[in-house]
Amino acid sequence: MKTPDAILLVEDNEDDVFLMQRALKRAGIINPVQLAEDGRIAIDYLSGSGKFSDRAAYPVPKAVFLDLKLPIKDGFEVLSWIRSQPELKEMPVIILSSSSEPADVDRAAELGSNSYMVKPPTGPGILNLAKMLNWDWLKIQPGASFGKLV
Amino acid sequence: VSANNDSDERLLVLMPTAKDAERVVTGLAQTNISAFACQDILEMCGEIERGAGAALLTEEAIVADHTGHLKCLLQAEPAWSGFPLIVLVREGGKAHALPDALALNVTLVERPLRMVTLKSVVDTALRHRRRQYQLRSVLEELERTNRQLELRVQQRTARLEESIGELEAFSYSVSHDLRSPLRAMQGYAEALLEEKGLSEQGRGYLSRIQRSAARLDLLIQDVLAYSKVSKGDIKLERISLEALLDEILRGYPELTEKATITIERPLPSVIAHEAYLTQCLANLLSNAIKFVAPGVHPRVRVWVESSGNFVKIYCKDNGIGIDPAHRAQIFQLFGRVHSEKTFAGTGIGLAIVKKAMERMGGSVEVESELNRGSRFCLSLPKAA
Repeated sequence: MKTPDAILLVEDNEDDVFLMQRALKRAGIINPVQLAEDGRIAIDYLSGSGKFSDRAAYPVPKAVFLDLKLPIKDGFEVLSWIRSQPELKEMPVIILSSSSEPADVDRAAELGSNSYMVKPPTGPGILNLAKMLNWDWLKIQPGASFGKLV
Repeated sequence: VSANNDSDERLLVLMPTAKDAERVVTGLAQTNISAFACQDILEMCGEIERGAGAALLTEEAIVADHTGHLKCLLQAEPAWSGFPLIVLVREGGKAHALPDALALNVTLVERPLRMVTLKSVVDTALRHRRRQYQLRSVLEELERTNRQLELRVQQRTARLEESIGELEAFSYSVSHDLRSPLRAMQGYAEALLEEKGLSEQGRGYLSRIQRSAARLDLLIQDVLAYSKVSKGDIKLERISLEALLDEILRGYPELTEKATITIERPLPSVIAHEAYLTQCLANLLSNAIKFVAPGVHPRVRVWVESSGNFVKIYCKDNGIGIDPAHRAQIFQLFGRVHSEKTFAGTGIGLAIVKKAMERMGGSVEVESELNRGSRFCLSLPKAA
């Protein structure tokens, strides 16, 4: 059986990583999550440079969940970089931020994010998002607590 | 106050001949007037520029000043200055060459003249000039003070802008960083609650941790809301109260679920900031239905009255009311008059209302007695 498509989570805070993984689990999502702890690593991962050229270990993700406050390069910089890459123009990028400040929400939309979630992410929230963005690649465990995608 | 330097006290003298000039200078020296003989009108102009008390010259010298040096010089004088000219005219002469020069500070003296007359005229001119120099120092002092004030205003403005910037950075940081560990606490407590084999007491403690975290999160959000209404420029615009209240009742369905809210229409338009006014009305309405005695069904009536250029929006409830002694306290940040157990809340809601109303050029007042309900009144400028 083919491994489900990967999700890239760009997040430096361990607790937030835990909360995201928990939300995915509660939604019954079994797609593997790859982690990038800062903006630079995220860009390296997506461009496949260095160790990330091994696409068997580090597959190109189907979607990126991107925190805004990140070390080295922040989420806005990563988002601008993604949208400047022709092969990543269609990559779904979901901002996952603690900020509900209109300035942040507006700037993320301007830079081309597909959606914006205020932390903490929840299982139903992620499922709603997946439904909205027509993520047919998402693998949901049968009998998951929040049901299946419609 | 003395003149700035010695040259400012001199009388400049220009006579048809050097001999005449010499005689005048010597004569005045005997009466303690320091005089300086000039060769020609150009030299005199130069000396005036260096600083002088007055000038004594003949009508002919002015007529001879074809290029108008003296006139140009004196007309270009600063506002504090009116350089005194003493002009000797021929006896019975019409002083026909002087009409233009008369706009200046000129004293005509007929020749021949006695030394005592000359001394008196020169003394008056020099006294006049001294007053002008005094005026100059006052004006200079004023200008210096002005410059200092200007500088201070600039410095204060810069400092103020800096603090506004810091405040913005602070509230941004509150929004991002302070809530993050809290989120983790809530998340882990929730995860722990899902574990099997937890004792009833353990569950109870975890619920308390969750409730405290939720309360802290509410406090942070309210402080953030308060700092948001305190900072930044806002654009005031025409807002239809009718549409805004409908929007609020739609946006906060629990208001109409828990209470009977009567709105007396039609409602006018006001000049306000939509987000601020929404926040104010929503806070007042939710307070009105929150602070009621147990078992009482909350009833709220909203109506407006016109008062000059202002619209007064009234919000009257059948709640527990406010002891007049606590009236000021309720608008303060964290000002609470009930225990957290009796009525949940952060004590920030009305502080936000007060600040937001002030920012919109309006005000908030309350009329209430204990157990008699409260009547809040928001005043805002009427929309034309």
